[in-house]
Amino acid sequence: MPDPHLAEQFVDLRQQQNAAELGLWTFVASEVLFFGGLFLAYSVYRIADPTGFAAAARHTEIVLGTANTAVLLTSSFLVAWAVAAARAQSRRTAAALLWMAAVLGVVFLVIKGFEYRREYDEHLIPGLNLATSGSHATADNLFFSFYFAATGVHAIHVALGIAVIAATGLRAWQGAYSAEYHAPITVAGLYWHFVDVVWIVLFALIYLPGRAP
Amino acid sequence: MTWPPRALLLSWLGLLVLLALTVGIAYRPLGALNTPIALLIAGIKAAIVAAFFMELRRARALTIVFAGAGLFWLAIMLWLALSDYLTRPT
Repeated sequence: MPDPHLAEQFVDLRQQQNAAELGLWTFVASEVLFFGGLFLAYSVYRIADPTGFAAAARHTEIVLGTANTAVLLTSSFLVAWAVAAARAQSRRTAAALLWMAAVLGVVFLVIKGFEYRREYDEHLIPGLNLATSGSHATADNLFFSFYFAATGVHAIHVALGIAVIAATGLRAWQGAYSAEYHAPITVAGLYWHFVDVVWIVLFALIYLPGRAP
Repeated sequence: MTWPPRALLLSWLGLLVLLALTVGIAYRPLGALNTPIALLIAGIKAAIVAAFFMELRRARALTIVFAGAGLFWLAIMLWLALSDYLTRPT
């Protein structure tokens, strides 16, 4: 009798898992180009005014940004560990790890919220309270427009990821997955790691420029 | 309870070390080298996540082609656009 998780168009679970992974990688490739447009805009603006961009980037909260990077890297690690646990049939470990990863995702968003709050207090929000005159006004405007667009879109990805990871954790707890069938954990993990990679690049573009004396 | 595979644990520790390293280097006065080094370290971190967390190191050739497709088109976009912006006379 075939496995109840096997859809009829597939020969076996292995082929089904391969198809699921290829589908997710196709989605990731389209997401790379989605964020790629933002990276290109950033590059063009930064090339146009390197010193102004460095000065604007110095206003970002590097301590919060670095802490958030560590949070997201750790969350990614927990999800990768959860996949290993699912393969080893320890469903409770897999579920607990997925939930811890989701909690770290929430921690990331909370820290990001405090960061936005500080930027509001420091008058860094274009269109709301950022100065439109002064020596670096144009670069400040372009940098922080990029900053809020990129981190905002990224935060939406994190929020969706939290929901997916937490739901997968619940299914794992209920015993929906086995050593043979755990493609949903792998696929949810691939998405989560992609969100992590985007943040790694954003961190280098947003927080690091203009720090050296 | 399943302990994490050693490769995952080392990847995670390596990523945190690289994070500390890139923040430390950002404060060193290296002039034009600061940005390339920051991007290089970001690239290494992304590669570690892709190879170990996303398991590309064990992936089939077809999966690697799919994963590389996104980067390939991204490279075309950045290359064609920046070959204009980086070569304009100031």
